[in-house]
Amino acid sequence: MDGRHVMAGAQADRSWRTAVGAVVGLLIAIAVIGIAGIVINGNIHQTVERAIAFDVELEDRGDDLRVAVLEVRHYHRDLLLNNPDATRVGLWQDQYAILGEHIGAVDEVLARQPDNAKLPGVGDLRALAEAYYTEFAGALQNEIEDLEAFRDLATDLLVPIDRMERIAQAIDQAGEERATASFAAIDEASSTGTLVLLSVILGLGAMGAVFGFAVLRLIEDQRRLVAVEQAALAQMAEASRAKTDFIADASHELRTPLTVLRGNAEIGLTLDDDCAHGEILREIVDESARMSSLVDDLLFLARSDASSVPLEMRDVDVAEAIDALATRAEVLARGHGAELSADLNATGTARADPRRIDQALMILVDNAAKYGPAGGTIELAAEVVGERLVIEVRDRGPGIPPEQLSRVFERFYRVKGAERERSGGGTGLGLSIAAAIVEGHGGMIVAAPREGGGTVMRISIPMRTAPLAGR
Amino acid sequence: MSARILVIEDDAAIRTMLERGLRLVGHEPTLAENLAAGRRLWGETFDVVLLDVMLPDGNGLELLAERRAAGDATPTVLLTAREETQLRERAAQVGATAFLSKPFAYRELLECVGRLAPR
Repeated sequence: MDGRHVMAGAQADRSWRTAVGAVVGLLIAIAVIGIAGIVINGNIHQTVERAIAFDVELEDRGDDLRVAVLEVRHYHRDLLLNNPDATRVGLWQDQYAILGEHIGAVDEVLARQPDNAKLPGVGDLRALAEAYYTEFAGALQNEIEDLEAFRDLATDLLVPIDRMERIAQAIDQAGEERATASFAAIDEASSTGTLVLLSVILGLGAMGAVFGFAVLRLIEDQRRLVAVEQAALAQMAEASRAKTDFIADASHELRTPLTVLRGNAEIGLTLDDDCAHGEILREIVDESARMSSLVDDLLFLARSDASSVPLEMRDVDVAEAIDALATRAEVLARGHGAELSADLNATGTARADPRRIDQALMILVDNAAKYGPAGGTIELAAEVVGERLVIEVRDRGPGIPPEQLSRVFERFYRVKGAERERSGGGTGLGLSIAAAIVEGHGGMIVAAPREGGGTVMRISIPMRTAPLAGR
Repeated sequence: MSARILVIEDDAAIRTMLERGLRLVGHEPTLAENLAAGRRLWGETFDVVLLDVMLPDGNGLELLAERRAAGDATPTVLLTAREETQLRERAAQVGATAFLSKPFAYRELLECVGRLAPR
């Protein structure tokens, strides 16, 4: 990972944090706002309830009381100015009874006063009313004969009625003031509520904007990160291509002096095979052959690294191909003084590059022949297991120590303690090439100890399962 | 049996080695170190042409195509350093007779020339 990569990663990380922070902030804000809403709602509810339960009722009852006092005065004047007959007395008495009820009602409302505000009481009004009633009712009974005296008294009694009216007015006014104040409080509470809601909406909007911004930034950062990754990949691909090109060029360049070395040594041997330096010339020929295999192997592995293994895939008749392969394997084994025993039971069709599969198996057979005991037998077995073609090459060689089994496919890895025939032309790349070929086929290669001593090399590649077109 | 052989190869060491090897068994090699020299010399009659593919002034296949277009059927062996299928396919289309992949064995060279040279 290069510097740009790390920076882009850190930026993306910051954007993530911003986005997560915004979401958490949003959730906290919603919770706070919810609580504020509940409090405000409770406050409005309480104010409204109190206003309706007391202030407005006090205003209503106070108003009714005042009207009742004025009504009493109306009937009192009626009696004063007209003939105080029984009908008018009855009407006055009814109205007085109504006043009594209103005094009771106001008293009842005042008893429910929720605060300690100083409100005018109805006690004075009640005492005045009762005194007034006693005196006027008595006059209506006793002094009705003396109309002059009655009218004087009635005129005098207008004074306590006025006082009653002023008290009722005071109560009414107090109720009115309280109701007005209550409504103002309700207005204020709902204004505060509106204000809070507005700030909430604004807050949410701001939060949303921050969140949106963070998400946009995040997307942008991700895009940049992807671009950086793509650039890095392209760079790697380019580097890999450059490496492959270099190895290809190097191989080409190496082949030229190898041609000269090998050609001249062979010409030298042709001139005089029995000369004193014949042995030296033969070694030059052998080593240049070994070096040219090494060049081929390196080129193959470099190409396998650069992209996929260079394979020419086609449908292969497994029985036929393995039969031909066994013949070549036998020739190869004999060349090393070994025998080959074949047990071939595979049939069907595989999608493969037969030339490369052949190369891989020849590497295995060559190794088995070189490491096995002289005159020993190498077993070549093939069968189809499930949907895979499994081919095994078994030898009775010294075997591979278990801890080295997984490493034998590494490049230039040589099994420690194994006797190596240097002139055999090995490059130390054979098994890694075999592995690259098998893996290029979507297959697997495994080295395992053989029961009774030796090694089993097992390759498995997928068979073609779909029916072939045109067959 | 002696064959007249045109060798078109830019690498001096290979050219010398080929000349030495061919003369040793009685052939008569004529040497050209690039495409231009090869084109000039190919006017004469040869039994076999050994043609390098990568030459400093062009591709050996160009010259072969020219000669084939002019009706020349001289057996031509391409000396290649890259075993590429595409190259072989193109060479076969152009009219190459055989291939020798570097580094080839001296024996391979002699067998190839012996097979192609008219008796």
